[in-house]
Amino acid sequence: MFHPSNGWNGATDGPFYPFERRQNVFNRVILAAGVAALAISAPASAKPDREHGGQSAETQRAERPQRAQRVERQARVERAPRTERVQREARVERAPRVDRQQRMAQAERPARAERQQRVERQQVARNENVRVERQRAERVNRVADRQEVRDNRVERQQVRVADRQDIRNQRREEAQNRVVDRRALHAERVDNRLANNGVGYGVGGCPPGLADKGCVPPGQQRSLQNWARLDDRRATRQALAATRLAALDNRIATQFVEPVRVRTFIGSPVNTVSAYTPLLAMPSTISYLYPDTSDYYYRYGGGYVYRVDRSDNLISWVLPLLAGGFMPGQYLPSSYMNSYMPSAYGFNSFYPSSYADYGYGGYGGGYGYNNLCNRYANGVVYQVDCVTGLVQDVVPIYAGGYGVGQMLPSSYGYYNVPYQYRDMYYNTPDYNYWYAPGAIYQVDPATSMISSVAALLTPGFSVGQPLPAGYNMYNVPLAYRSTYYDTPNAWYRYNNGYIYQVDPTTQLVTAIVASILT
Amino acid sequence: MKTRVLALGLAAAALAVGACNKHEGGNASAPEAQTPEAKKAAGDKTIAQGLTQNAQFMAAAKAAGLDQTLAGAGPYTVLVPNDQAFAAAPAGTLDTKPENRAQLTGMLTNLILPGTVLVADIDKAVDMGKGKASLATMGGGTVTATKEGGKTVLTDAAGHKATITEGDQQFSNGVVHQIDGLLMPSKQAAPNAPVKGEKAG
Repeated sequence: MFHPSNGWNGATDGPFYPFERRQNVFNRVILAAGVAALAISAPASAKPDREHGGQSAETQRAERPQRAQRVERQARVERAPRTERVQREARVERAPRVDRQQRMAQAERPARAERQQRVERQQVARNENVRVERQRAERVNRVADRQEVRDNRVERQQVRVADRQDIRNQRREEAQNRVVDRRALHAERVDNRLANNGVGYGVGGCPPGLADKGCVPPGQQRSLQNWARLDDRRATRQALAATRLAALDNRIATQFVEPVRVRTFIGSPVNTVSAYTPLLAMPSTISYLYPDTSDYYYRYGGGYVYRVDRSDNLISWVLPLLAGGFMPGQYLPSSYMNSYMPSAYGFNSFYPSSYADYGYGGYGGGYGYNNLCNRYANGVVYQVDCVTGLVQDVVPIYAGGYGVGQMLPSSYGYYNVPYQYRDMYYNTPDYNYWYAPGAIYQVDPATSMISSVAALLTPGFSVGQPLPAGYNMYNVPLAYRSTYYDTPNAWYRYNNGYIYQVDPTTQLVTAIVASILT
Repeated sequence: MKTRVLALGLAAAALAVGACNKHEGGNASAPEAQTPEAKKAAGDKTIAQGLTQNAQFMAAAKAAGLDQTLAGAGPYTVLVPNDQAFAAAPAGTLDTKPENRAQLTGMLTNLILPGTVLVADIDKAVDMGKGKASLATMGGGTVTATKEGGKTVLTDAAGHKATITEGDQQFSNGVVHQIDGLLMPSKQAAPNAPVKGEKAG
């Protein structure tokens, strides 16, 4: 048990209290040794005091306590290294063991080092394997990542393509919807106008004095006309530049001579025309339509066909090859302005003399039909400015005699064959096909001339309209008669590749029930 | 020298063959539709093949570029005047010169009806129409059908009459009725045409 008096803290007997009992023995031994040492060392110690060796016994007695103190001091001095000695002894006793251990340690050191090296090498090898494995795994991951990125990219591309297609379809649909909406709006406005018998701007008319002037004050009307004329010229110039004609202008066969000048050619020698435009023999594709005889032959150039008398080489007859000789951007002669679409061809409702007569409004109120009038001559409908006679568009009418052996007008610069006929009449390097009212034409692309008629077409039916005049007779093709035959509840009529159903009571076209060409 | 003559001969022969192929409307062989698909849709025995190639009607059709049309898909109902009818028509009616093409085309399209209309169909329409029926033509106009003496008679806008002498000649792309007169299109102006038009600027 620990006690402060026994502890080395403050203890005078030494620091190790387990040696307490032995300490007493040591104290005695040391004390005896001190006495012995004192006895031995007395003479010696007396040497420095030799002059005092002969002193009296009293003096020696007087000196006894001092000696005791000295002995005590000596003992104390000698006691001090005791710890060291004990420690030395302990060290001496321990030394062999330490040496053995050290020797063993020295003996074991190479093996241990080798083992250590082996362990280290194994560790290094293990680390290397781990590193290789890690690299391989990383490489595999990278390849997988790259593949995933590639897949994602392909997927994104497919998504983008699909999106673009969707957008394109959507736009197309929107455009179609816009057209339908515009037509519906237009029809609605026309109906409103007809229903309300309105005149000029808006429904309800205008001041009575201006009603016969299109509801526009005279000054304003003149200004509008001037601006409209300028706009028309600009628009028609642009339209002409964008058409097929623009590309043909550089070709001999399609450089056009002014109609006014062409009139002067009749009765003139053929070389008079050659001075203006080169003349060529008729192309082989349409030469059968212009057969040479012993009396005359044909040449073409400058947009016209010329018949030349062999006897005197004078031009006896001229036929315009394109648009009756008048094209968009030109002015129709005043004599043509009194010529209108005959009703016999069934197209007069499509090409009225003036859209104003159909409630489309007067000047400025036409919803895209601004001051547009239709005039007709030589199988061609001219859509012109009602005031100026500027030709806006040219529409050939086959039944009117236009077409074969002539050229299609500039507005027919795109493939426009009705859908039900497209599988049969498609463009090839040898021939192109175009639709114009009444027919699908075969056109020689080299000369732009119409070589034959591929199919005849009527003005057509549309669902919801009254059955046109002349269709009371049953006309379904023989192969379809067992399926589509007239009953008291439904009639069937064929028109332009389709079989339509008609309500016998209301005489309205109710549905398309079959397409016989597709 | 012989080689050159032979080559020239071959070239001339090739040119002649090529020209024959190109001018389908110019020879006496039956015309064909313009594309293989149209030929297939028209069938094996077309109106163009069935009509007499040397008859006046086919000559007029060729001049108007309609001969290949009658070899196409159709179906059409063709009223074919016989040669006597053409001979009896006013001079110049069948003039195939280019300057007469407009009149010729108008006349021919007035003789072609859309779809397949058998004589029985016309007669039925006449019965339904209380003695007459209006038949639409590809020219955009109409001809009027009636029954006279048990025969079907067609009348144009000008009052010219033609009787169906041999009807219901069936072909793969339509039907032909032979008639004994010409039916001309109307030359009536548009009913809404103003008396006086605006002057050109």
